[in-house]
This record gives sequence, C-alpha cells and structure tokens, in this order.
Amino acid sequence: MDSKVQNPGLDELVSRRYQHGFVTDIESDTVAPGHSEDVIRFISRKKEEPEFLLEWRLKAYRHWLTMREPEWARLHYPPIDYQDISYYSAPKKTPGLKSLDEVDPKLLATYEKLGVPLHERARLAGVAVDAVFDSVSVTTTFRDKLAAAGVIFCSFSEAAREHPELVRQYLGTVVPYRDNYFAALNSAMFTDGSFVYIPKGVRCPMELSTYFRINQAKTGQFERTLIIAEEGSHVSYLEGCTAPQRDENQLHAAVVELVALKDATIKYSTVQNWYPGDENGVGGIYNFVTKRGDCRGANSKISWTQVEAGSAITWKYPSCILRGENSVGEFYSVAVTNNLQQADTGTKMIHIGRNTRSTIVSKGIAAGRSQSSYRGLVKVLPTAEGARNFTQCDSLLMGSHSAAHTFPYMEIRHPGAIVEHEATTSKIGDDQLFYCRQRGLSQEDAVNLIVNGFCKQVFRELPMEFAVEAQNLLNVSLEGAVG
Amino acid sequence: MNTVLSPAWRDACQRNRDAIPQLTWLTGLRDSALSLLSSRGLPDSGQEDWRYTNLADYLQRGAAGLIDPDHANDSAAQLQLILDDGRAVSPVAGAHALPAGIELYSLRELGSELRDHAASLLAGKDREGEPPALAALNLALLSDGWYLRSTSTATGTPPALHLRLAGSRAGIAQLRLLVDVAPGSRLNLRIEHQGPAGTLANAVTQIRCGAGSHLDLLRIQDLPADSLLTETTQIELDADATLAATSLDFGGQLVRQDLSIALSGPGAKANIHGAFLVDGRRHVDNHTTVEHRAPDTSSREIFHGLAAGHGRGVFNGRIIVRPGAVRTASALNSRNLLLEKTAEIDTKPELEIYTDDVRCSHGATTGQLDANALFYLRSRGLGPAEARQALITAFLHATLAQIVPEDLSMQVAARLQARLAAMSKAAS
Repeated sequence: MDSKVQNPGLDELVSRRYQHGFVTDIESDTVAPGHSEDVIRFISRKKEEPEFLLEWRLKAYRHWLTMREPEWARLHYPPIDYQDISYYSAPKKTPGLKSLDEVDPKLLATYEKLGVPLHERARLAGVAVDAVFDSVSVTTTFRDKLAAAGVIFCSFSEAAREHPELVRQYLGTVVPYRDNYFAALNSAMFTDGSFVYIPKGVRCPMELSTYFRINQAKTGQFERTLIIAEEGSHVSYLEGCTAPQRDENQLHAAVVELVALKDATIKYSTVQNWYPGDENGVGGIYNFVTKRGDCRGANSKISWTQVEAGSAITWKYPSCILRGENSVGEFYSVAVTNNLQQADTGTKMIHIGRNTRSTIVSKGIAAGRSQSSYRGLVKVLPTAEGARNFTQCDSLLMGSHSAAHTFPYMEIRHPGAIVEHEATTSKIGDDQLFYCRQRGLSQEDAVNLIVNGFCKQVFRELPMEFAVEAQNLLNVSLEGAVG
Repeated sequence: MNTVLSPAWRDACQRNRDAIPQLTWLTGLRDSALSLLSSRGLPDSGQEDWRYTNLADYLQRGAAGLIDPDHANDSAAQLQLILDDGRAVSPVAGAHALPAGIELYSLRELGSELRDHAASLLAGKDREGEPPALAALNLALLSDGWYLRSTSTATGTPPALHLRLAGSRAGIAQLRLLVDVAPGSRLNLRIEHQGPAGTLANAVTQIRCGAGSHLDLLRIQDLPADSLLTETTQIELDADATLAATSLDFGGQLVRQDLSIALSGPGAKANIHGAFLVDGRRHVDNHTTVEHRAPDTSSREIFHGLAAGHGRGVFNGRIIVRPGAVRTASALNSRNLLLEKTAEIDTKPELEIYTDDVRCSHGATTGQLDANALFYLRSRGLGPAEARQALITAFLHATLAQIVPEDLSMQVAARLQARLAAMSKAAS
C-alpha cells in the first residue's frame, strides 16, 4: 500500500529529527584511539583499581585477541575498526565532588535537556540516579537513604575501590570474560558502570535508576553493571539511555551481570533510545550488549523488561540462568525499528533447576526499511524436572519495505518439560484503522492507539515513569509510519 | 568457519569430471559446483545451519570410500521401480509398467532435447542464491541420475509411481532424481529410502511443478539403524500449482533432510506434513524452508517429532516471505513428544518476512504424554504400555491423514504401528 497517497503529511512525521541530538562542550580527558595492554593499564590506573582487576582485564584482553567477531546475527554493517576507537574518555574536573553544586553546570543542563530526574526532579520522581556521563560517574543521590537500608549503589569504579571483596567474588561469574567477543572486549576495556548490592532480607526502598550517555566523538562506551541480590532481597533497577547526534558510528559493548540468591527478586528495566542514525542510515550507535542474570538460589526471580527504540544496530539477548529450584525468569520486550535500523534481539532461558519457569513476550515493530529480528533460546537440561516455558513473539510490519524475522531456538532434554512457542507476523489491520478513523481519531492517533495496544503486555511490566516515557518514545519513533 | 575441501574430495571431483562420456554435458555445471565447494567447503557444525548435526563421521567414511570409485558398479541399483505387485525392478526393465504420461530416463541416456530441462533443475539454488553444498558435492560426484517427467492430464486418480532409492556401503552413493511435472498435469510420487545395513547416501531430489499442476509426494525413510543419509529436496511451484508433501523418518542412524519449497508463481499452494521418530541412538534432522516469492501464495506445514531412548530429533522450519509476495498466508507448526530424559528435541520454527501484507504464524510445543489422557485410558482398562502406545499412535497419525490414496495411507499406518510396537518392546 502506498502510504504517501493515503496519508499526506506522513513524510514530515516520519522524518522528525532526533530530539536528543546535541553535544555538550566540555573538555574531556581522552586517550588516543587504539587498544593495547598499555591502554588497559592506563584505564585501570586512572580508576585506581585493585591489582586483581587489572589482571582480570589483561586476561580478558589476551583472550579477546584470539576471538573472532560473531557473524550469525541477521545484521549488516561495515567492519568495525577496533584500533580506531578511543577506549577512555572522562569529563575533567571530576575528583572530589561533594554535592550537585560542584558539578559542571553544562553537565546539569545536559541532563535537564534529557529529562533526567536529578536534583529537584529526582526527589519528586522518587528516583535515585547514578548518572554516568561518558564513562565516569558524576554524582549519586539518595545515597543516605539507601545506606540506611544497607544497600550499596555506586559506580563500578567506586565499588572496585571500596568493596573489592564483593567485586572479586561476583565479577565475571555470570558473564565470564571468555563468554563472547563483545563481552571479552568489555571485560578488558570497561570504563565504568553501576554496582548494586542488596543485603539479606532487604527490600530496596526505591527504584534504582541510571542514565547512560555517550558523548565524546569517536569514543566507545563500555559499561559494566553488577547487581547482587542477597537472600530474600528485592530490587528494581531502571536503565535509560539517550545519546547526542553523531555522524560517525559509535560502538557500545556493555555487560550486565545479575545475581539473585535464594528467594531474591531482581527486576531490570531498560528504555534504550540511542541515536539510531538518520533516514539514510548515516551514523547511529552500534549496540552490542551482553546481559545475563543468574537465579542461583531457590525461588529466586529475575525479570527483564526492555523497550529498544534507538541504535542503528542492536545485538542484545538479556538472559536468565534458572539454576535454583522453582526459580523464575521473565523477558518482556518491545523492539521498534524505523528507517535503516537493524535489531537482532531476544533472550535465552536456560532451565537447570527443578520446576523452573520462564515467560517470554516479545513484540517487534518494523517500519521504514528497517529489519527487526527476534532470536531466543529456551534450553531445558535433563535436571530441570517440571520446567515450564511459554514464549510469544509477535511482529508488526509497517510499510512494505520493512522486514521482521523470528528465530526461536528450543533445545529440550527433559520429557517433563512443557515448552510452548507462538508467533505471528502481520501488519496493522485496515479494519482496525478504519474503525478508529470512523470514531473520529486521526490516522496517527489511530496508529498510536493500535501500536500501544500491541505493546501493552510489555509496558505493563515497566515501572510507572518508564511506561510513560516508553509510550512517548514509541509514538515519536513511529508516528505516521503506517498508511 | 568452513572446513576447506580436503584434497581427497577435490581429487575425486576432478577425476569424475569427464569420467563418464555420456555425462560430458554436465561438465560446465560440475566445474561451477567444484568451485563453489572450494570456496564454501563442506558443512561443519560451526555453521548455523549445522549446529545440531555433525557430519564429521559421515564425511570421513565417505572420503574413505572415494579411493576407488567404480562408476559402472552400482548406478543401476541406486534407483528401482517398485511395481504394483511389490517387485523391485530397474527403471529400464520396468519401463513398460510406467503409467501413461510418465517417462523416466537415466541421465546418461537423456535425449539432447531434454538436457536443458534437466540442467536447469540440476542447478537449483538455495535461498542464498547458490546450490547447497551437499547438492554441489552430489553434482560433482554423480555417476548417473534420473529424469522423470509427468505429462498426464487425465482426470480421476493421478498416475502413481513408486521409487526406491538405495545407498551404498562403499563410500557415499550420490543419488539424483529430477522431476518435471508438466503444466496442468498430475502425479502421485512415492519415494522410499531403503538399503542394506551400513549404507551411506547423499540424495538430491529436484522437482518443478508447472502452472496448475498437482503433486502428491510421499517420502519414507526407513533405513537400517546404522545408515547415514543426507538429502536435499528442492521443489519449485509455478502459478496455481499445488503440492501435498508428506515426509516420514522411521529409521537411519544419522539423517539430515533439507527440504526447500519455493512458491514462485501466484496462487501456488503447499501443504507439508512430516513426522520423525528417533529412538536408540538415532539422530534425525529435518530442515525445511518454504519461500513465498509471489503474491497470493499459501503454505501450511506441520511436523510431529517423537524422541525416545538416546534419540535426538532436530527440526528447523523456516518461512520466508519475499518482497512483493503480498497476501501470503503461511502457518508452521512443530509438535514434539519427548519420552525420556536421555532423548533430546531441538526445534526452531523461523519466520523471515520482507513484506507487510501477510498473515504468518508459527508455533512449537514440546512436552510429554498427557497424564490425564493416560489416566483416562488406564481407567478404561488399558495397560500402561498400551495406553502409551495409543496416545503416541494418535500423535503421529495426524501426519498420515493426507496421504492418498487411502489404501496407501492405511499401509503406511500399519508400518508405523509395527515400528512403534518394536520401539515399545525395545524400551520395556
């Protein structure tokens, strides 16, 4: 169907510029592009890291050098020159920040534009924010309240300095440095990230939130996040991202590790809105992320919710290792692609323990000339008596040049397991559109309504403030993309 | 990640290039097959399409058999015609028994006027636009093959043909069958893989269904437990052609079937049913691709898998909807029963959709026998083994429903029953 004929003004809506495209002009302390052991030593020294961490980075680096970049994903991009990337960039004048007043006002203005609920807004929103600006944690709020509950929420570098025993005990136990090409690169080069520790029996008193930003031109961002939930604890963690407009592709290879011990629950929500490139596919972030949670204890639960709207390339499979008896893994995802974006995303549910359960709900929306793939693995080992999985992945296509793919892998080795998978692919029904139009809705409102309905199952899982942001994001990304 | 084509294979391909004077018309095709093999190599488990099936042993045994290929030897025994009375005869001896409107030629004897038809089938490409590696290997090494043509447009029951393909115990037999179903014609084709213990075969079947034609295809693989088979089947349907295909795997040690169906003409339809049964240490891997290339095409595919003992069943079903194939309707289902902890099912129903005006769905389930259903049957007086077998039979019988004519369907059902009984006996 030719959308232009049916829907005048469409082009204008589709070609809406990226709203968060700006560059903050702050001096940065950036190392020359290229990777080497010296660069790693430089990063480690800069971060005042303990010796074991440097050793671990170097092991990861040496292993990475022997690895090949994976090719199995349905993604097409020019080869990445890893020697052309600067692996460290930090805003200057950061040491010894005591309060928000000491932060460079330009930085604060940047957050303002992004809508980060720091400062007054943080209090109103009731969110503690550990904002990461080009790899260095600038400021942390609500620390007192969290400290009173015994919760540790700080930048990864800080954790490495102040809680080395915890970092040493858990780092790399969920995503080993040998895991995959991008995880190995991250293990060697990571510059910062977040660290969360919830002690035994504690329910974290607030939603924890981090905004990541990529700012300095030609710098890759290698975040490392580690969340540990001790026995009987509970935490909800939010991660949101926006990035300024760039013409050169930027590489992002993050690693997130979650550890849930007995009876613990971790809820991890993401809204990803990095620069997707322009309508001709120029620029945009390459997002290669390894996220994995380990349900180590009985009755533990890890829930991933993601709204992926940005990035030129998304390669991301938040996973759960269901080791503990009765442990639960969940994955709720909305992936939206437009123009020339490509997303290959999904999850892995590895059932090891008895009576482990997992739910996968994935909604892919592809508009323009974009490609959206769901790739998920459900693996049931012979030990997983009574394992149960339900997977639903639906794709919505907008425009005859978009493409949606589904690759669900199911490897079942226990007869008691019940594994179900369902998938559908379709476009927005003309009858649905007609009905909405006939009730007086404009074309774009009708599309928004239908798309939001399509994604509702996932949005419902997001914390309130994120759900609102996610809906807005979706509307901006897709307005008028259907005719 | 490909394994480089080893010198043994390369030399064999080169030796075979001009070895058969009657097949020199294939030389150009053989050269491109060899160059493709040289660049892509043979399958290995590092490749995404081969992650569950390791051909190392098969290829090693095959390479050992390359030392002294004897072309005159068994090419006649590779394909046999099964007559109505059950006798197996060579296609030459059985020529008089072929139904009206059906012709069957050896590639060596193929008249020059039919060679173009055969050559275009032989060069069949996969979804990536190249012949699959195993089909290329077959082309480079084949010593003969068969070309079957159906031109029968008679109404009533379509003409039926029953063929038997047999592997070899010395090296991998390269089997090739080309089928041309002429526009408007109909054919009921039954292909069985059989052979003595320890046979190896690499079969390639390429079928073109002309506009408005109809093909009923039944494939039965019932090889002895220590046989290894790789099979590539490519079927292309022109406008308004219909295909009803049934694929059954009862035997074999390691079996891999790549079944690709291209709906190239508007209005083409395909109905695909499959069942596989793996017990002992059998490994059966079915990879299917249904490619919608034209508007208003439809496909329905359902595979039933049963794994017991140390068996491993793999199913990978792929639906591709190409740009422009609007108003496509497509459904894919994979249903699996896992009877024991030592067995494994790996299933992956894929969708690749490149246009928006489509209705596509797929589903997959893996589970065990329903405890309630078992209890019900037991309460009606059936023993545990009988109750299990009744449910398993019901599970697999859905596949047999579309086999025509009905007496053939009954005959296959009886064989399945015997096979299940043997399985249950082995288990108890």
